[in-house]
Amino acid sequence: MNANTPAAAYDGVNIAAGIEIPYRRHAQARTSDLLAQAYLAVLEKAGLAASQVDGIGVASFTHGPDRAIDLAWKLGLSPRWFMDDSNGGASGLNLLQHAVRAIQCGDASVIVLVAGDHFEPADFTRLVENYNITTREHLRPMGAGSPNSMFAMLTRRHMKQYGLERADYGALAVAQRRWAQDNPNAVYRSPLTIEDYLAAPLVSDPLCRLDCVPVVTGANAIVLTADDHPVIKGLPQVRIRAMCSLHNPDHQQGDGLSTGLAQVADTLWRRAGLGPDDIDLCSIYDDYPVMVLVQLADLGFIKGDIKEFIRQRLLTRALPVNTSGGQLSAGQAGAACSLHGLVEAWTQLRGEAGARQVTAARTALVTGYGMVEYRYGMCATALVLEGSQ
Amino acid sequence: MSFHVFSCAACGHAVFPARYLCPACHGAQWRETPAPQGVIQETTATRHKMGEGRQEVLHLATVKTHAGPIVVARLDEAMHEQAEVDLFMEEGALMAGRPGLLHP
Repeated sequence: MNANTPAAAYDGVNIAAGIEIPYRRHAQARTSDLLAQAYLAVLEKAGLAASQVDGIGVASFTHGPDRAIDLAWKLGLSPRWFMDDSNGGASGLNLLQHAVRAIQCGDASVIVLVAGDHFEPADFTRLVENYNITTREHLRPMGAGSPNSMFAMLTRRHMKQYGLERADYGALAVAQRRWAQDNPNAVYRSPLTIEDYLAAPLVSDPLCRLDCVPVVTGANAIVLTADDHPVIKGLPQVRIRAMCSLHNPDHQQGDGLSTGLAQVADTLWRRAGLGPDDIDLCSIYDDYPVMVLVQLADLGFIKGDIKEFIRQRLLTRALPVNTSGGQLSAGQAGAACSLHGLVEAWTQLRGEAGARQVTAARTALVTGYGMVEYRYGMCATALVLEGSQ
Repeated sequence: MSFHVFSCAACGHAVFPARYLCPACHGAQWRETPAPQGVIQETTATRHKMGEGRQEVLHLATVKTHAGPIVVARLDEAMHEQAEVDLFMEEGALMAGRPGLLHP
């Protein structure tokens, strides 16, 4: 099997609703409470009764010791399909990939995916220092448990390779903050200038505080149904035209300046019957600005000079990228990050994005990235969505 | 303590950290290969808040070992890219320092 092996299409399945439980820097709710809130909110959004749900998937770091089935019990649900995924930035889309197949094969007809965490800075430190055995055994003894150090050195490599400066990554943070100003749910909405960015305290040079996602508490959820399910009859449809993943493409022995998406991009576009120029907006996983540029290049959105792309496509919004403000401004609520971009794309394709609505948005590209093993993330997924607005 | 990487007994491919199977040939037998030296590719200075406005600065480097694998090591002091370093283990941490200095 390789990336070019034909796969069954993702058709016949609809993303019937997507929601976000507003992110907060400090919140009382436990993770389980947040996931339950997200479940109820997405059912209400979809106009579904709890009795119609027969599948549930949970993405979370801090839900333990509970698992998806414990949440199902608390929600009075008797699922025919359930699944947990704690693979960070990859978890939500990984669940989605399985859930679509479950619906196509008749294992379930209505699946709710919830993702979220109660996260305070101390929870984050505990998580990253024990992220996996490699981190615990090789990075933490050096005091280097935080991914900031690894992405600082990756950003330095990217700067050298492409002749970029700090201000180029800052331009991305500034562009996303402009979007966040029109997103009432974003945690950071105050105006941000490139001067503010360049003056922000360095965390791990060349990264400053504004390159690092703010740790927040929150949750996201989506509902998947079959295309012919009565609940979506007459409503605008959001379908998956194509989806491709490739994880651990180089066994952590490369430079981290490309992801698995570089190897699957051609297949993704061929299966979608579209190309980068046909995409109306992108939700690119943005744990650090450099990774947005890396994934956009992997997928063929950046064809030449990166500086020129930033100036001519990103800052002008010719290509709208991370229209919620992304994690850099909206915040990173643990594993909720894995559905955040998908929910934003869904909201845009349904024409419900308010002041930040992209005009006539019909197609969107969403990515997931993450799971740092030793030097950079291993996981990468991309999907192309199409709305019928 | 000296620093080792792991070489596949079947194809010679070297990795760090250790794996069960070789990513190049899926061989399962390994031998330890000394990796006493390398060259710094990138560095960073990570600032940790220590309370009361104090900061601790942690110097880290990505090092290409002469044995093959690219590793992350802690530096005692700020160093430049392309500098040759000695690699050694100290209290469970991989350290990199100027060549020829007396390392434990």
